[in-house]
Amino acid sequence: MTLAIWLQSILDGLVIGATVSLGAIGITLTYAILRFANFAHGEFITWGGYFALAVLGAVAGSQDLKALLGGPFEPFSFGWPLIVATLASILAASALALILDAIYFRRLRRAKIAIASVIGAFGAALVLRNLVVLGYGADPEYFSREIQIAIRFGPGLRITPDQIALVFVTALLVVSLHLFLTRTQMGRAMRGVRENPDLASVSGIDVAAVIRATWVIGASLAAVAGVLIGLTIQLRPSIGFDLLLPLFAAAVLGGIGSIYGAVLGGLVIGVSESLAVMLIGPEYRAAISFGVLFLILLVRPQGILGARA
Amino acid sequence: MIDVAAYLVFFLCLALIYGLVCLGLNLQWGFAGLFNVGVVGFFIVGAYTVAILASPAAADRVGGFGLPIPLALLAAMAAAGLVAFVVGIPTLRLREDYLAIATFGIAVTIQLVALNWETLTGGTHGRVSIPRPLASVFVDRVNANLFFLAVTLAVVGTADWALERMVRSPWGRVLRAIREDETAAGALGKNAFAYRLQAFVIGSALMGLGGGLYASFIGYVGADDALPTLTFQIWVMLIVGGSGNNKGALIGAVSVWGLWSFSGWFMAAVLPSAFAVRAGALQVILIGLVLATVLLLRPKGLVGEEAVVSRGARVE
Amino acid sequence: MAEPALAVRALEAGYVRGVPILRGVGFDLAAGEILAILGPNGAGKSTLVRTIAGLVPRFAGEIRLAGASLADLPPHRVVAAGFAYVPQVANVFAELTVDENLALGGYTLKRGRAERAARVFELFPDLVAKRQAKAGRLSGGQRQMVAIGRALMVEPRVLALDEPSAGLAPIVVEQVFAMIRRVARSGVAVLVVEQNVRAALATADRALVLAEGVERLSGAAGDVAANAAIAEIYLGGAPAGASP
Repeated sequence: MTLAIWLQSILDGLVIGATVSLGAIGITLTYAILRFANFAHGEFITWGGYFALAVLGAVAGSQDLKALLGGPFEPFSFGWPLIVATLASILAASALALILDAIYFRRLRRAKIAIASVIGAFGAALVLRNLVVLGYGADPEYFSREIQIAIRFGPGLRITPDQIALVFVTALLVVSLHLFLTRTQMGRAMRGVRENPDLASVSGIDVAAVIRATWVIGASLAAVAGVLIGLTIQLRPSIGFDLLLPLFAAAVLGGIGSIYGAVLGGLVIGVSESLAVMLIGPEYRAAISFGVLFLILLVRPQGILGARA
Repeated sequence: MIDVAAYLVFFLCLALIYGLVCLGLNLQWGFAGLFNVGVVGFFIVGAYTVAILASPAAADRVGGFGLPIPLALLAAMAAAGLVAFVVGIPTLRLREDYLAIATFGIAVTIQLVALNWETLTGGTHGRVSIPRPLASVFVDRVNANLFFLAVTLAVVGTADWALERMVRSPWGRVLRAIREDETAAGALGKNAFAYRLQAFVIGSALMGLGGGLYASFIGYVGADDALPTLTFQIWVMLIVGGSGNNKGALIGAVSVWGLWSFSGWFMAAVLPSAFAVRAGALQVILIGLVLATVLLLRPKGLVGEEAVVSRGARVE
Repeated sequence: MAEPALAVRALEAGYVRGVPILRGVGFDLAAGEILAILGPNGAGKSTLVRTIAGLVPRFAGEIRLAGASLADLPPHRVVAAGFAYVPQVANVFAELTVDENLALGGYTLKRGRAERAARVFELFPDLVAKRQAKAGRLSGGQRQMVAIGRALMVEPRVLALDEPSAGLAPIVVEQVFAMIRRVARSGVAVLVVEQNVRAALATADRALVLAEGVERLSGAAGDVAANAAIAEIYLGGAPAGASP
């Protein structure tokens, strides 16, 4: 195999890994601040994608909105409609997360049994996924049917304009999150609650508000990931559930609780999957995450960037 | 009337098989506090083990040794236990959520094997012609089901009896002590890791046994049987019945499986067949709502945890 | 007469309903005054300050800060009302810098955070060089300064400290109590829970001695120090009439 094929595989892996990173950030934040493994997190990705699909459908169905928002920005396949749809999807996914917390997860947390939250989340995941099946059926959906022409560069590498946009958006979100966590009071409060919730509350931090912020950030990033997957691949009701294992693997690999670890973990998982597909075929793609997870738990359970076990 | 009775026998066979799996999960979660989110993985390993060992030889398929069912069932327990052993080693020393994530992962991986390793599992077509015990004696369908029910009852009864003895023994007392407070148990010189690993392996072996019985009862096992929905169902059974209580686990299994079967039948009767996919979705949503309701309103389940008194301990 | 900075009356509290750890405790604390809360292990000293801070459920009794009730407010509202609390262990955010710790101390402030931080650095000049250092990497004494400085960010009427001398070398204990006197002189009412009876009585104006959740002794620090009963309380001897 030539070098170009390897490089192409790594490049594809980084593109996939970027969306895994966005989802893993949410997993790691929920774990650090709410202290449970949120098996429902993948569903924010699914719902995010389908929320955007619904808005796109509404725009396409209305002559006025179509005229107002205009066509795609060449060379991308998307234009203002997708940007509007993404913003709407972020709002809707955040609202979904806040409602779920208010009526469900908050009460489970009060029971003070970690299991209640985790198995409750596992149940919520299956319910949320099947609600999507109920609404849209199990067949794949696409934001756009057009085939994008890839840009060629370097030693025979290809990338589509949409994929470039995906990487750019992910990087922008990660940098914004970094600035938020280090430069704003709410960001510092989140780090404070992660380390010591009692001390945070006697410092005057409203821990309930921090928990709400955690849900909003996690769900928003997941919604964007869902939109990006819909944009570059396709939407199915199972995308979120299928991504759960890679998301957990990325979060554990990076060190649970570490944002930058989650980003790095996501990229490593993406590239590993991509290389594995090339070497052993696509059938066992999802098992790669498990292999990585198993190895890291065996060798360094605190993860690459994690300080504590 | 005969039809209803015949269906009831069929229903009870499956409900008790799931009850057996539920007993395994109860040992892991209810008594040892171990959080297994990959129940289906251990179940399906047992099912394929029986399929491979007990079914007659077939072209393009590994196995087909035609071994007697009891032997195949023992092998199913051993295979599921072995998988648990391997998964348990890196994870049982860590915080409980790591075991949850790892078991979820092993179940997904096993599901991929079921789907893709066709010579072993038959892929989407599955493995067929898995015999029942004494299939040549009980040929008539009604009698065959009745006999299988007797076998299942015997197996579940034995498992329940053995588990009750185990949790009341000093071993079970240490297990519960570890669940409540690992540091205190550690200070008593008990190696928490070894106890957990034992509970995890034994519980998973019971799941494998359940899978083996399932394969023998249905006569078929395929990748469709490896979906995470089963893990979810077993958990709902345990939580509805009440974890930490073997009777609760069995009651939960029968009632939740009853609800599942009835809702499936009801929707098939009411909805046109074009809505089959959506009807399946509704079924999962229904069970999910049951779980949420029980978790919120009655977190100890219908029966609740039994106060277990160990032999040799005095009641004050 | 002016309203006391903190008034506690007949306070009953505990972690489990029906099992009160505090069984009717009361005291007044004036601005600029230092009150030491003393007593053997398990007397309910920490529970007392944690209840006022809103971390332990109150069953009965009153807690008033400058006349306004603090009872049943969540911890962050208690802070906003003017009661700052420094827990015994893990009282700084170890993974955050000194500056960030102070910023979180002033979380409830809308403005003026920088000015207040400047005042904290005036009080604890040793911290100026460590502003960008993670609090977890400081010495024990410096960490205690960050913990107290964090609590002072809200310019509280009342500052409560849970065993500020725990785990510190004797010379550092001396410095910490000097800090506490400096804080009190600025007009803050101070509540100190202490195991180190000698150091606490040397610093405090008044003392309240608890045993098994009830008041056993109270008065001017000098009088309490001179009272023979205090040794008896620490040794667990129960006087006639006290319920077990």
